[in-house]
Parts: sequence; structure tokens; C-alpha cells
Amino acid sequence: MDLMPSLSELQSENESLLEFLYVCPVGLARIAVDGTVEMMNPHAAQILLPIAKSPMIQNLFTVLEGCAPEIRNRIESFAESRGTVFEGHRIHAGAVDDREPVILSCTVIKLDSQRLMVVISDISRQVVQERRLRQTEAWFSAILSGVNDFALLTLDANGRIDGWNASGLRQTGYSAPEVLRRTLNLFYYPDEAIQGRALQQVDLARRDGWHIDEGWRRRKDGSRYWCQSLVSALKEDDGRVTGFSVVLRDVTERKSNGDELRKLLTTDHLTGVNNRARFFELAEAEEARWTRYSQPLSGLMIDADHFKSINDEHGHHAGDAVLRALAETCRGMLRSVDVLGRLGGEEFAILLPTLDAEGALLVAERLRQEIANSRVEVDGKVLRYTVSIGCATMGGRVSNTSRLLQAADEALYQAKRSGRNAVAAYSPHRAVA
Amino acid sequence: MDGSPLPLQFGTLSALDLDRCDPDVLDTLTFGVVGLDHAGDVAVYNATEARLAGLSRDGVLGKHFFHAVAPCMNNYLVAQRFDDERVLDATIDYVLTFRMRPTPVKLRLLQAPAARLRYILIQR
Repeated sequence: MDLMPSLSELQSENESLLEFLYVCPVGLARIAVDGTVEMMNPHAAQILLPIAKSPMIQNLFTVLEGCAPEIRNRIESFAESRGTVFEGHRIHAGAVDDREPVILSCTVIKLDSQRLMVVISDISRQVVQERRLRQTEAWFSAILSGVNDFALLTLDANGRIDGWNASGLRQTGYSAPEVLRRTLNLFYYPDEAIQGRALQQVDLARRDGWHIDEGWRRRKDGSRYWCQSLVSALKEDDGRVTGFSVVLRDVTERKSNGDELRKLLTTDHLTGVNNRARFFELAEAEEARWTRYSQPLSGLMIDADHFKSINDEHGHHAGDAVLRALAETCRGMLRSVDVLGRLGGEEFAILLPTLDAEGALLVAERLRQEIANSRVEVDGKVLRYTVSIGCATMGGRVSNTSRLLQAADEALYQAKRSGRNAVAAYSPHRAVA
Repeated sequence: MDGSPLPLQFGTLSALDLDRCDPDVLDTLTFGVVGLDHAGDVAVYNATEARLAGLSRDGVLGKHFFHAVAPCMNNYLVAQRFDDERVLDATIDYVLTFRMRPTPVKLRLLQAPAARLRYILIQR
């Protein structure tokens, strides 16, 4: 019996395999360790085309550098010679040409020291659904889960506790005489760098109507617990705030489970700042606040100057160190309400709630100077670097955060054109209508 | 009309020219030719296209092109345009993944009310 298939059998088998891959509704690619695309099915090309903005899809890292720079980092830092590098990693590709924001799921498996298998699919719709579900769930669990872990209290117009009951005693160990007339600071760690955050939360609630925060809090006996707090303002008809009602929830158990995962999902692998996905989530919230309360909102786009030559001259290692230093400097100079994110490559964005154009320009200028005066040490060498910053403020044509970032990006190019190590503000007159 | 040779260039062929073209002549062209009927099923699939895509003509004829053969063109850049524009003559840069190799190509999309089929010309 002849088990070898004939040439024509092989041909027709090859054809049906090709057809199978042509119509496969999931993106498949095989890449080299440097990102070069060696094989790719049509669906993968279709998914990547709008992100690449050019039909020349030759290197996956280059295509994704703008929206998912962590892919390169994670593949390069994967030490083993084979195995799953990551599974179901979410890539927020952002909105392309005014279409709905695209979210991709990406799995990378290392086959050997040379080759990787990439599976990629568009999960935008599922994510929207998931988020809706999560919100609903959060509401239900807040309403339904054990009433025991709630403490309910009220504050007067100045943020001092004026209502305290058994639920507060149960959660914190303090009795009414010990807490009345005190502020929420009582439950915060005195040595915490974010002292004043309790008062800030009250201020934000005064401004926005409500505010949710979470963090470690302290009981009377010194033990700590992870607390979610909701502060909502009590308003008279004329808009005057007469006090606040506060809900404190002990969610210590839930925190320890969700913490690691949450960090993984929301922070940038390299710099530890908000990743792109988280940044846009937070931007959405800021936009909602801006729409509702018409407080100023500004945005900065920051780009490391001559970053490519830093990489070329001193290696990716040095480039990474510069990005970490940049993120660290920004973090050190921003308020806790400011939102800092790495959007991709050497590009960072900052949202500055309550700051108008003038205020944003001041912050940008301070950042630029601080960075220009700073040094980064890499392998015993000392590097200096500079940044260019574009500023924009909500208002007029700039009516949502994606336009805000676009406007800041235009200003950034202005800053780059003016010779780099510079700050420029967006001017609507310069833009083509 | 009969005696004059058809202009068989990628850039100048019209949908009506292609309607009139003998299938054997289409097979001699250096670029791919795919003709679709109004249901979107493949009615013309020339030899060049079959060779480069690695699919046999018999396997492809009669199949819905955008759903069952080339879903990578089932998007706003290609399939949508046939739906949206009654008269269409557009040349676009595109990437096809022939036999899983990403290949930059030029696509010419042709549709005319008087033509029997609509055409996609593919030049590597």
C-alpha cells in the first residue's frame, strides 16, 4: 500500500490549507525576534493596516511602537528560549480616522530562539460590553454585598465630621467623641506622602459633586485596611455645599486579590506610569468632569528630543533609562490629580484638571527646565536629554480629550520645529480649519 | 471595433473592456484579474491570480469573493466601495498576504453601470 500522497493530492491539500488560512477570522503571524514579519495571514494584515497607516507591514514592533511599545520590551526581556511570552495582552490602538477606538488582544508564543508566533484579534466590541458589565456589577455588589463593611458618616461644609454612628465604630474602632469635629485625615497615615489627600478628596467632591478614592487607612488600634471611600456633596438648591455624606468600605480582601492584576493591566511595563489604555480611561473621566462642571482642563504632550539618536548611540538600554527618568521627573512634579501616561515610544501625555492655558504653560516650562537640568546615569556614563512639550486647553473647537491631545500634539510639533528643548502652546488660528 | 486591439494595460483597462475580453487573453496578463457578479460571487479568475494566490480557478469560481476567498478585502477600503460607488475606477496601495507573505500591491477597482461584472485588478 502506498502511503505517500501523489503530487496532485499534495497540491489540492496545499490549496485547501491556503484557503483555510485566507478565511481564518483570527490574525496569525510568525515573526523573527527583531519583529520582522515572516508570515502573516490576511486577517492579521487587515487588523494591522489601520494602525500601520501604511500598507508596508514589515516589522511588527515598528507597527506597534506607537500604541504598544511594551510588546517589544516584553519580547526582548523574555529570557527563556521558548514558551508563552504573554497571553491575551490588550493593545489599545486608539481611534483611527474617527472610527470607534480599536482594542486588540495579542498572544505571543516563542517557538525557539529565532521565531515567535503571534495571534491577534480585534476585541473592541467585547471590551465595551465587558466594561458596561463591570460597571453594573460594581453597582450591584456595592448595593448587595455585606452591609457590615460600610461605615456611613457625614461632614459639615468645612469637611469636619459631624455625624458618626455604630458602623464607623465597627470599622475604625473610634467612638463618636473621638472623631467629631475632626477631618478625614484622622484615618490616614500621618507619615504618608499624600497627606492632605483626605482634604483634597473633599475639595474634589465639592467641585465635582462626588469623588471616589481608595487606599490604605488606619484604625484606632493602628492596624491598616484597604478602604474605598465615596464622598458626595450635599447641595442646596442654590448650589451651595452644606456638607458631605461619606461611605467608607473595607475591601482589604478584594484588594490583595485584584492588586497584581490591576497593576499589570493599567501601568506601562517600562516606566510604571499609566499605560495607554488606562490613560484614555482616565481621560474619559476627566472629559466627563469637564463637560459637567466646566472647570478648565489642559493637556500636555511630551516627547523626548532626538530619542532615536540616544538609542542609536547608546543602545536601547540607555533609551529605556531616559524614558524611566523622564517619567520619574514628571511624576515628581505633578499634583496627585494630574494624569500622566505613556502613549507610546518616547511620547508621554499629561492631563491637568483645573489648569487653564496659562497654568498649563507654567507647568510645561517647569518640566522642560527640570529635565534639561537633569542627568541620567547609564552604565557609568552620564547622559543629558531634553524634551519638547506641546500645551493645549479645552475650549472652542477643542471639545473633547482626543481633540485636546491632537491640539497638544500640533503644538508639540511647533515646539520641535522651533529647535526642540522648547514649549509651545496650541493656537487655533494656526490650525487649518 | 472588432479589429482594434484592446488596451490591455493595468492602468487603462475599463470594466467594459474586461467584459469583452476572451478568458484566454485574460490568462496572458501579468496582473491578477478577478471579476465578480452582482451577488459578489467570483465569475472571472485569471491564471496569474490563481498562481500567485495559490488557489485553483475551479475552487474559487462561484464562491463569494469577500466572504469565502479574500476576507482581507472585505472592508471599507475595497468591498465597501463597490457597494457605495456605482461608478468606480480607483487605484489604491494595499497589502495582500499571498501564501502568508505580506506583499505590497496596487489594486484597481472597476465598476460601471453598463458593465456585466465588477473587477479587481491586482498588480504586484
